Amino acid sequence: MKNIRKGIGLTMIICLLSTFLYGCWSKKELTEIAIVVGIGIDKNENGTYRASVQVVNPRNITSGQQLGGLTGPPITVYHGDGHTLLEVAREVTKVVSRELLFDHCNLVVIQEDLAKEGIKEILDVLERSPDFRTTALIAIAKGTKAQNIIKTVTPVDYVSAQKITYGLENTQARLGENIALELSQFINDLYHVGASPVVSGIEMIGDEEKAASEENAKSTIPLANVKINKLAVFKEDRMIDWIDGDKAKGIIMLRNLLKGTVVNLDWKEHKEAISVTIHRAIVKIKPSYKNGKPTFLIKGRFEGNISEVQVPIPLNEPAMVAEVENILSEKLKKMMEEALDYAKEKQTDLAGLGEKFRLKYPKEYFQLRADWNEKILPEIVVDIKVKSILRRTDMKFEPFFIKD
Amino acid sequence: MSLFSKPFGKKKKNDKNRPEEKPVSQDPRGQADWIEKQFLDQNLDKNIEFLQKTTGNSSDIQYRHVTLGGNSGRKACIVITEGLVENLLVLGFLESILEKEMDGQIPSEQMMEQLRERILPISKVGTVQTWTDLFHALLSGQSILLLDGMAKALTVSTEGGEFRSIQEPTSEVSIRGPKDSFTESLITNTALIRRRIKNPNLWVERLEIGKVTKTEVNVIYIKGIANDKIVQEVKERLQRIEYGQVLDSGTVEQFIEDQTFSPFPTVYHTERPDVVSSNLAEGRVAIVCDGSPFVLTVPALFVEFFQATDDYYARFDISVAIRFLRVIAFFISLIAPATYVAITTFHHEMIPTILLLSIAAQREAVPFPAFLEAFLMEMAFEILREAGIRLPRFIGQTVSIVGALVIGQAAVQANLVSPAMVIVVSITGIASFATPSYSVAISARLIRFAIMILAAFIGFYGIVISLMFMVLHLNSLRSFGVPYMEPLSPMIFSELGDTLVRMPVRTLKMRPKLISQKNKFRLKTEQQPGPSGNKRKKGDDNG
Repeated sequence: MKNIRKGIGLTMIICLLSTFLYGCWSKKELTEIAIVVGIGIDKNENGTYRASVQVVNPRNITSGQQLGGLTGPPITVYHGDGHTLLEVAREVTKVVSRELLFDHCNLVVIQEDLAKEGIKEILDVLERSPDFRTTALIAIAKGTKAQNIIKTVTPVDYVSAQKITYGLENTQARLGENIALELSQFINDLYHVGASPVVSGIEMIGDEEKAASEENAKSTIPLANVKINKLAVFKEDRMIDWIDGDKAKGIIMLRNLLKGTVVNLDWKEHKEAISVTIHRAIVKIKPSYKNGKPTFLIKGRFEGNISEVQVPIPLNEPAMVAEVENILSEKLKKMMEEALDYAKEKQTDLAGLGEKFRLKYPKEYFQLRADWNEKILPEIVVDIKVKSILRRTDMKFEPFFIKD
Repeated sequence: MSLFSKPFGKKKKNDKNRPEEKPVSQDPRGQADWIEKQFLDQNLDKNIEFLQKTTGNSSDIQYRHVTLGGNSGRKACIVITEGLVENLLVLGFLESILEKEMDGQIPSEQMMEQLRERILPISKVGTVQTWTDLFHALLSGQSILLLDGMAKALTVSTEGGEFRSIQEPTSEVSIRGPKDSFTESLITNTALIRRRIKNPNLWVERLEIGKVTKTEVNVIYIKGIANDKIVQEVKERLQRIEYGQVLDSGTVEQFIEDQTFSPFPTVYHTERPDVVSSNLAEGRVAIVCDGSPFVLTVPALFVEFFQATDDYYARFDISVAIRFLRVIAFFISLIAPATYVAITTFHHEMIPTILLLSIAAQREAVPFPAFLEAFLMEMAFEILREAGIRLPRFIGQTVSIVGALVIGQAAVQANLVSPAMVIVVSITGIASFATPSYSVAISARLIRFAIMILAAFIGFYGIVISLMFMVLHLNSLRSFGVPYMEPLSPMIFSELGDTLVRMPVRTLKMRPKLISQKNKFRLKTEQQPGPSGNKRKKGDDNG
């Protein structure tokens, strides 16, 4: 009995000790790592990739007074060239003293020209790597190189990658023309082919030369800045066009990604006289399959407030509000129809109709899959039904300039 | 049985009951044992000589010679230990001996009988025959009356002397509830319990342990609620103690606890009479040790150490929140520094980017690895705390100021530690004070270092491993046969109301099942008050 007990004890001790053997395996002290917050990917003329990593200098972000640290640029950008992204990442170590930590990389910016050529190939490593998170947002550098976006020093949010991610989320929630698209969603769209992704664009404004300089952040009017603008339309993994305005909003509505927006309505002869804030939007797409042809019923339900009125409308009458609701429904319907027509014209499934169809009719979809975009999509009959509800008229009923 | 009936206690018990059995013998082990075997002599002078010889003429043992029964009287001697007797009582009975008329011709036997029955104005008077009993009585404050011609002595209960009075508890302060605490006097302590449980079923059994100190220990339990087997086991374990100096219940605890090599205490101790009374009412056994203001209760459960008295006196919603807070605080005090170490060295992805940047900025100039930083700060904190306890109060304040300045401010400015680490250590320190029981809080302090080391090696994996080992260990513990984690494991649903939360008192109907094992119901009827005249059905919870 004693021997058995001894044996058990010994085994347990050996087991415990063995946990120490592989200890410190993935240990990285904070002072040994460089925190990457954004990556820009460009294609060089000789066909190699150039990746620019935006690394934070933590000491220069927090008010460095009690740390007695140097004041310097909040971010540092390193470049590397190579045929694969992994090669580039290792190439960068030639110029960085610390191990690059990709866990906190929240932004991947891709050059417009590269996006037009197709970006399937470079996304694999981002999805495969255990260090990289596919929750990072993806954006397209519009009319400039991705490295220029990455190296820009921006005011308020000193780390420009953070500025862009916050900005994407903010504009999606407020204006609804752009989306904060996660890399995983992007890859998901590509993978199923039943949907083609749309990605927000980012462009440089101001003096591109001074974007990387520290004085940019110190100036009250930034000398150069990055701006989220337009939506890049993809056909499968190739970018084909830029859109904005109602068309962009329509696509975002169809994808049920709209979180909030403002819609201007006409009132009788007055153009764009009423502004409505949409704060809740639910769009459901229901596919059906009849006589070898897919049809879709799109049901939208929008809730909002009347936020601005430039014409005298007696809003204290419920009938008036109901009328505005009708106009709003019409307008929203038109926006979605326009977006769909655009998608049909470009033969790219921006609304993700194919994906919806696949989920309900998997067998039929795989028969139609091969020429979904080219033949099926332009022929699809879509019925859009919109219901809008105006919850309140904010602080007032009638505008003060109404005449009795 | 053979395990339990080892020598000392058992033998002594026999001695008391049947002294004539034991022949006079020399025992090489010590004087005390040698005395044990001897009887009093008939000759008064011989007895006094023996007394003086045995006590080495100790100055605090005083002899007062008197003559009883007038001229033809008989010599007698009163022996007392100075300081242990109540002087007024001694004076009183001395007075009555000297004043009362007695016939000096009657035999000694009769005279002693008369003294006992008519003359001594003290409620408790006993007779002793052996030197063991005599010394025991004498040294616990009784007065001894030796009579010439008698091989017996009278013991007069005159215990008294100076004791610390009943004061507010110092280590278990409560906002609401009784403010008295135990003192060093066994009699006072027992009385404090008796005062709360006026029940004839509250049984008190006296034992004597400690070879040199001869400390008296009372085993208290409520007959009919306490499990007889546990009572028996407690007594047996106490009698087995063969140790020279038993000066505090802490020593007793270490002898009777189930598991020595465990950071967790399996015996509960408290200085609050209300806690002991409540534990007794739940079927536990209390051990009151003379000279110690801490009373032990067994069996102890792990959850017991998180139950503060305030929980039961405050209303239920407050108690639930505070009990829960305490459990959280216990975990913070256990794993907060380890989590910090693990996150900053292994799992950078687990914290928000901004927080990581902020911590990274602070750590930028710190030359040590995160573990060493945490270890240094924890050590410094522990040293400060230990020093703070030992130092006199006015110096203690100085230490805390120096500590706060040196560790909070200077160490950060000198870039030896990061401000975030100071915050973590402070939170840990404060959280460890939120555990009502010092003995479990101190265990958490100990385990914290082990977890920290593992976290430094293998990150969260290490924390999880150590917590798993802790849980396994806790489940392996028993306190006097009762599983330590009861009622969490084995899960007993009817008792969960008083574990991590404290449900309304009227829902706590059952006593801890495994402790009492009989008489399980605290209350059987519904206690919810309702409108008068509206008789509710039995079992209707909402009234």
